Amino acid sequence: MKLDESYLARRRFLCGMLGGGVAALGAGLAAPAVQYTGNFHPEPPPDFLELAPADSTLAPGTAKIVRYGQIPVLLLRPPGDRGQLRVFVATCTHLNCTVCYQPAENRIYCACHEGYYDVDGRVLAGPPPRPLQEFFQKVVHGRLIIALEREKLDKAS
Amino acid sequence: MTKHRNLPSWEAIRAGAADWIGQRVDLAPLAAALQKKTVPIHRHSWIYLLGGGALFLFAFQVLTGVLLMLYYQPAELTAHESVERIMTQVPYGWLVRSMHAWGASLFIGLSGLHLLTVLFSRAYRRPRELTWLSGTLLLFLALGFGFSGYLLPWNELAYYATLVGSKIPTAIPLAGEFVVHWLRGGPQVSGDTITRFCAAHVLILPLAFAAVLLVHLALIQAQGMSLPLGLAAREVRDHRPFFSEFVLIDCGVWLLLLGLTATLAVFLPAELGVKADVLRPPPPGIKPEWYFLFLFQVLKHVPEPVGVALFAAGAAFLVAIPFLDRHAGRERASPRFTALLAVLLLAVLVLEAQAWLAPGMKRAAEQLRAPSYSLAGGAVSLALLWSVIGFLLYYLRQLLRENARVRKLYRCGAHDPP
Repeated sequence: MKLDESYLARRRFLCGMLGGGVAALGAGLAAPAVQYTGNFHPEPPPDFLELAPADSTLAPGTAKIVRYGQIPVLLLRPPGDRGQLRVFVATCTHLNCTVCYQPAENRIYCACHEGYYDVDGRVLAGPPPRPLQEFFQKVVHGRLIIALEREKLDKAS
Repeated sequence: MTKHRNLPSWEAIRAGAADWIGQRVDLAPLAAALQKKTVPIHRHSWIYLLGGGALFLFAFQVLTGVLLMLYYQPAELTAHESVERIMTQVPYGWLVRSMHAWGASLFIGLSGLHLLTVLFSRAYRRPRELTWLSGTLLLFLALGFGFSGYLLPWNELAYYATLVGSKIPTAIPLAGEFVVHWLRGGPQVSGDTITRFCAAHVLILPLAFAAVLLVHLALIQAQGMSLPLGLAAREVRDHRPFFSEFVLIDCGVWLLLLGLTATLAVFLPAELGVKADVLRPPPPGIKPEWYFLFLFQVLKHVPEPVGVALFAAGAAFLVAIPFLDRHAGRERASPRFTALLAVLLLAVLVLEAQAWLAPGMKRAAEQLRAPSYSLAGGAVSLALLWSVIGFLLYYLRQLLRENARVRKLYRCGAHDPP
């Protein structure tokens, strides 16, 4: 029995409509699904942080890493009598490894790709493209407050 | 109609792909086996859709469950907090969790309805006893899903319900205490209970369910649909091929179930509750989820050992039904057995109603607050969803009619339409 040509046309139309509807349904479900699964807006870091007294009175030539939300923070007191406490984001500007302080050489070192910074956070050698991001500091009632943005620092009182 | 010469048609692509696979593995016997099954169409054919609906809801639960597991943390310190995060911070987390909660109730409800229609149409009779056995096992596993999943949010309701529910096996002679300790992961319901209930809910039960489901589906595929007892052959209007026709009707039902679950989730989102405090004693009025209420109510009327014995007897009776109803095996109706089933069903319904109407635990009214949640936005999205569902249902129906028309056209011929 010879196939009626309109059979194919009808079938294609129906399957096309169904395919289009399923695609619309899929797109409508995919958008919220991607937002749900992606966790694109994780918890923002705190506006500011008050350092513990032990942390803000480090001995000269020593460093310590503390947490600022999920961000590692390098507290560094350079050697010498009047070294002011430096507070950096302890994330290398190259590919985000956590850096450390080398007291013997008085520099900050990233082991992942041999990046070197000085105690001011400026790049000395290696692949890092930018200096280390520094925190804003303020002393309030004898306590040291640090923040990533100057406006947020003013909120602390 | 003119086509671009260099662009192959969909049919050509499909045929090419089938050819490519066919050269590497012989799918002809499988295709023949799948095409063999037909579905009888008669006054009561709607019952054949219930099992498929339950299957869809199971797949839906797996999908929403996987999404929830991306954020859920099964430990005493963070379980409730992670659910709170899902409900209030994760975009559309409230929707995923609410759909999972409603999906669970719908899944068990539809499975129960499927059980009832199988019972009253005697579909369990010979040669389908194995299908019945695997089906009752699936039901018990589904109840296990419900029980284990209920604890995971670690709110007061969940904690007390699990406390009471997991105490019931102590009535089992000799092994009772051991079973309870083994279930709970310790003498009390604790963080260890959360972890093992999560392992059961997410790994052990799904694997067991999938294995038994495969057996259940393979049997149905091989044996086809049973005709309700007493239905005469002349009452069967048509025999639809399962693949490519009845599956389309199944898909239509699944779309409706999807829409229903989404609608319930938007207008009646799941409750977060108060974090469980293991030191606080249970308050008056605790009740389990609706599908356990009739069991719970039995324990209010009789002492616990008697109640547990009744549960065991009930489960054994349910499993043994095909072997007890000897008339059905010989294609004869048994009004007495129908009466027995009706009485048991009535008893279950009365107990359920009694427990449902009893006042429950006092809980503060909750207001869902999440950046991605708004009732108006939800209503608009639901309107869009139902429009797309309506569109799909219309064209599914058209395709079904087209298939039926072509099938009747070719009924005289020995071959299927290409």
